[in-house]
Amino acid sequence: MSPSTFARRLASRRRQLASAAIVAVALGLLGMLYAAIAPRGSAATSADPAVDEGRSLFQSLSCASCHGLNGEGGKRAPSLIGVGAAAVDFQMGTGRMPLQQHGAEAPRKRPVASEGDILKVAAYVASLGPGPAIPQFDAADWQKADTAYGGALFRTNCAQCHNFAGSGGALTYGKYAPSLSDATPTQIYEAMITGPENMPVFGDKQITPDQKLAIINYVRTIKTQADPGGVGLGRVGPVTETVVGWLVGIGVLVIVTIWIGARA
Amino acid sequence: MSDAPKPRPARKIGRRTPLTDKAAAAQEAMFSRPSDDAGTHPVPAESLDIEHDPAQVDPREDKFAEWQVGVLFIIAALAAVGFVVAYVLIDPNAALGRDMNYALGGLFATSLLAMGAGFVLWAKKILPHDKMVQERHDFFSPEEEEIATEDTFLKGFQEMGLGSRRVLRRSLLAAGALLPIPAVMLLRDLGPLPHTRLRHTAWREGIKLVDVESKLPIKIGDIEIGGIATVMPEGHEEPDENALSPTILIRFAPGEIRSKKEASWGYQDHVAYSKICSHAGCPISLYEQQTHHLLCPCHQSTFDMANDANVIFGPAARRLPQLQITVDGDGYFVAKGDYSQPVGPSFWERG
Amino acid sequence: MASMGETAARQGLRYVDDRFGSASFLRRSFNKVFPDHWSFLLGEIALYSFVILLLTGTYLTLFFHASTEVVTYNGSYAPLRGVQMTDAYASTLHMSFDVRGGLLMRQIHHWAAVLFVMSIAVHMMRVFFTGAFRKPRTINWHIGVTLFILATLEGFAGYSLPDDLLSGTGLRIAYSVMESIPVVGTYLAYFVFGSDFPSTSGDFIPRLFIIHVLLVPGILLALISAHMMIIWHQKHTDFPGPGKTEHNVVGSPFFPTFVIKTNGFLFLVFGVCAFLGAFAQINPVWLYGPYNASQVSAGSQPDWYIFFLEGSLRLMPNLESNFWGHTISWNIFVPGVILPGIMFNLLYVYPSLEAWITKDKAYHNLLQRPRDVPTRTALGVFGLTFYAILYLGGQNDVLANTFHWSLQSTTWVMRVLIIIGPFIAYYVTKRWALGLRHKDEERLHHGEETGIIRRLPSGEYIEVHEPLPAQRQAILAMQLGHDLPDHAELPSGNGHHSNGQGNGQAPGIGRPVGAMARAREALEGFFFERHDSPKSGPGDDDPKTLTRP
Repeated sequence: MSPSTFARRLASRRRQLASAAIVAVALGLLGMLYAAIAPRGSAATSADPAVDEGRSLFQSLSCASCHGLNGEGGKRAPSLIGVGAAAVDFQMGTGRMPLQQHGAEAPRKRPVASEGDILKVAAYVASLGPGPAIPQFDAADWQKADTAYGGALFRTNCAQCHNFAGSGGALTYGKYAPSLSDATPTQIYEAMITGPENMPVFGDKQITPDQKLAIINYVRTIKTQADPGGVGLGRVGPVTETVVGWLVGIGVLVIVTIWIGARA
Repeated sequence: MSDAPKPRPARKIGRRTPLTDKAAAAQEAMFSRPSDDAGTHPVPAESLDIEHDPAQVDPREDKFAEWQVGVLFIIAALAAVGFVVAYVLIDPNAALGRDMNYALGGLFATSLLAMGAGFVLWAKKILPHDKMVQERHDFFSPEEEEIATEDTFLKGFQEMGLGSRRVLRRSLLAAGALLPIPAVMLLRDLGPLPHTRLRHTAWREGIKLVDVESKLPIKIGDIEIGGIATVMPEGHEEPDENALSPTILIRFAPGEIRSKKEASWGYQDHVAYSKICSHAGCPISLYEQQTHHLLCPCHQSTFDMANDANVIFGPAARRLPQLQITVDGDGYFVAKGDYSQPVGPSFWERG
Repeated sequence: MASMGETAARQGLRYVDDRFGSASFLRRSFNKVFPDHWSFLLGEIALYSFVILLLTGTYLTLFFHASTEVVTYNGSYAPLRGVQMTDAYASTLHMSFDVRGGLLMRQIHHWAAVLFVMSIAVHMMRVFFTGAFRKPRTINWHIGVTLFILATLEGFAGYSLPDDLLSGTGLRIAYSVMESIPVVGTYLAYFVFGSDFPSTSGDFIPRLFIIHVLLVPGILLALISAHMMIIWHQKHTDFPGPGKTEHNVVGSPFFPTFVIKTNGFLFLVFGVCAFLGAFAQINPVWLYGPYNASQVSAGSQPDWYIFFLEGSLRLMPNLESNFWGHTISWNIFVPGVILPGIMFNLLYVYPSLEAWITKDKAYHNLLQRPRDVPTRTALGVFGLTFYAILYLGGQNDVLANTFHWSLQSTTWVMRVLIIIGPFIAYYVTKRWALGLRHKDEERLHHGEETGIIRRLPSGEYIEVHEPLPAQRQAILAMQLGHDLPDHAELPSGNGHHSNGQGNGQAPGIGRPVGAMARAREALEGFFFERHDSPKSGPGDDDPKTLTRP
């Protein structure tokens, strides 16, 4: 990839993200302004109908039971002020929220809410305070990104937790870095900018939007590419290979020895 | 009842007591046949309770068995031909080469397995099932033979004079002890001496922290709260040439750092630690931004990064060394110097 | 045709005999008898895996570049195109993606390597638990243990050659293990690797290559040849069975039966490796990426034969000593150097140790069943359990992630199990073996249960027992370790010729003299531990079993 394409794409990405950020910041400011004016806990209305619908969904989906009536947080859950729409879209879009039960790690599930409802809740939470907006890009954007560079970035920043092929891995005390096989490009992006649960935050100044798209392209490429050597065995390295070695290799050969040794 | 109750064997497990004559005789009775000069003689299968395969008594079964083996060999031959065809016809790049691997490997395996199964069936169905018996021989020689050999050796040894000639013996010992030294010397240049190379990294005062992939210096504010970056010293960006230098830069939220020393060695909630595990040297960066645990994927040593990188679990005995950092006039992170202690796994001279 | 072939064969044999005088040797070889129990083929898996490794390995050398020169990859595998990597890694990618059948050969080679070490381990277990290591086969056991260690080293060297991220992580740990050796460790690591890690001098991969393709395979080949020649010379052991004694071998002739079968087995082992190479992906180095000292992957594991070392490093507590300006990192030195040293040395000395404890100087050509020597079997299971927990410990992160256990708890459970697990396994195994043994003794002395209940005139009910046929009785007696008379007739002159089974009486009456002798006697007591017969009451010696009406 030539540097000029890089730069051009970077610029266009930045423009799109900038406009998205402006909208988000505007929404956030609006929300803050509103929160300042409106009496606490009242059922007042806001200018954006999506935010209002989001607020009622926030309560009906029982987000409020842990995160507080106004997302201010509680004993069991963190404050949502300033987490941004991206965090909501990630957490609800991967089905991690609403949480079914407390544990070391919130597992990925089928989302409870529809895509439209998630966007409304996201708009509401974004209105609580400024935070990362839902990244806007389409498949053509990340498919153009440099896979090999994305691979190098992936191995430096992601593989240590998510494993060399994004198959996931163990963290401390029951926590784990999940497999990336079900993650959509948007969700991968959102995870990087919001740092869900224990994942570190990779802001846009540290890993630029173009680098993020390259990482997404690498993750999607190796996910969809064939395993040229046969069955992939979960892509976790020698552990599963060893199981196959014992069961298929030694297992079959021992059966063969019994066949050869059997009389008549 | 033919056998009287036998006396109980000794309860000490593994001891041996002689068997009754009768049982032993039954065992020996089978081997009253003449042997060849190698002590081998055939035993018909019946006497060992081995049933003959139908193929060996019924000519039709025999013909069938021959065809069974033949068909397997034909399969092996056809698969070998198929291998050549697949090699020429299949697109080697389809599905990253998986199609080729399936075709070549599948046909190769078929060929080999059919060949092997054919051989085994050949042995099992067509070859006679009669057994052979061969005498074993003890491995020790007759005593006079042993003594004669020992005498010959001792006679020769005495003639050598190593036992009686002191000058001969001692000078030979000296030469024998010193001769290997040149061989050992030749190994000296296998590698450089370590000197103090394990004590130092490429970090120096004022060297910028640059991102290991983009090779760009990192400015304050580039890392978000809860973020982590792998950095190298500017000018020494290649990890493979500076394997002790990789460093992680972590940004905490205000007030999260519990150790005063850690905070003072960092800069505004940013701290830099060696990425090289103090246990076995794996690069660690499995960082949990809420618990501030850093986990090593090799042997699971866990460090509390909010508290001087103390070891809270696993085989690592030492905390990770911290790199003192600050920012320069342009807001870029720079090192205040090299690590104050050797980085990475322990070694004898570390102290 | 037949006569022409016959003439040619005769001429060929004569041609050889005229030059070597080989007729009598060949005839004896054709007629050499091989016993045919399935478990005797386990070692052949190892032998044929080695043959496959030589064949496929030679093919791989045609494409592999043992060089750490940095190149830019430009081959078929798109996700790495343009990436800087060593020539070793690039050439591995090249043979995988741009040589037709190259990936297949790489995978067959790797699977054969996995099966090579696995089959050696399984074969060793067979030899151990059947007592096949006893005199006169002690030296062959020593050669076998050496082969096991060398196979492990050879496998690790091969696994490390492609210079990918996973194997580089393994080498980093190997470097640290070398560094941990007191006094010489730092120098040793520098000399072996040619510089600090990861070999900035570029010498290391070429060194590893020549070790992997010439040095170790050469030693392996020589030792495997010696192993086979000793088996040939000493003749194979066999289990007690119809017509089998300590003084004969019963089985099939080498030519043609054994030759046909063993060739078939060679093809089948090769076929299984080829099947795995075709359909089960192994060591996908393109996914690991090139080695980079600042990168690592979650779940970094070595190949299986290093799992136990990885596990011992993981389970070890974090001990380190500093004194007089020196450091000993027990947390690496003990699990990485001392422990494998002890384990392999125990394997080396076990045959002599057992012979010394039991005063067994006899020749043994008949094998024992595991139950027949309960203490040895239990000791073997003790060792296997210890090994198995280390083996699982080496993959504790993958286990924790798969079953969503806590990584820390998993490690703690294994730390406890490594201490108590082997003892539990020892106890259970010994009880089990003794139980089976006792049942066999009942069958030998009281006969088989018939299921026929008879009422005695006294009104008592008994179950009638049928005595075993004489031959089966003889076999059972041999299995239980009762000597045959002809064995007992061996000259018992100067010690090593005697059948010298301890007969429960020390040669000299009274206390043994010396600490060693007393220790030996104590160990003998442990090995032949007395066991009371199960509670069976006064009717125990009666050939009939009492049943209550």
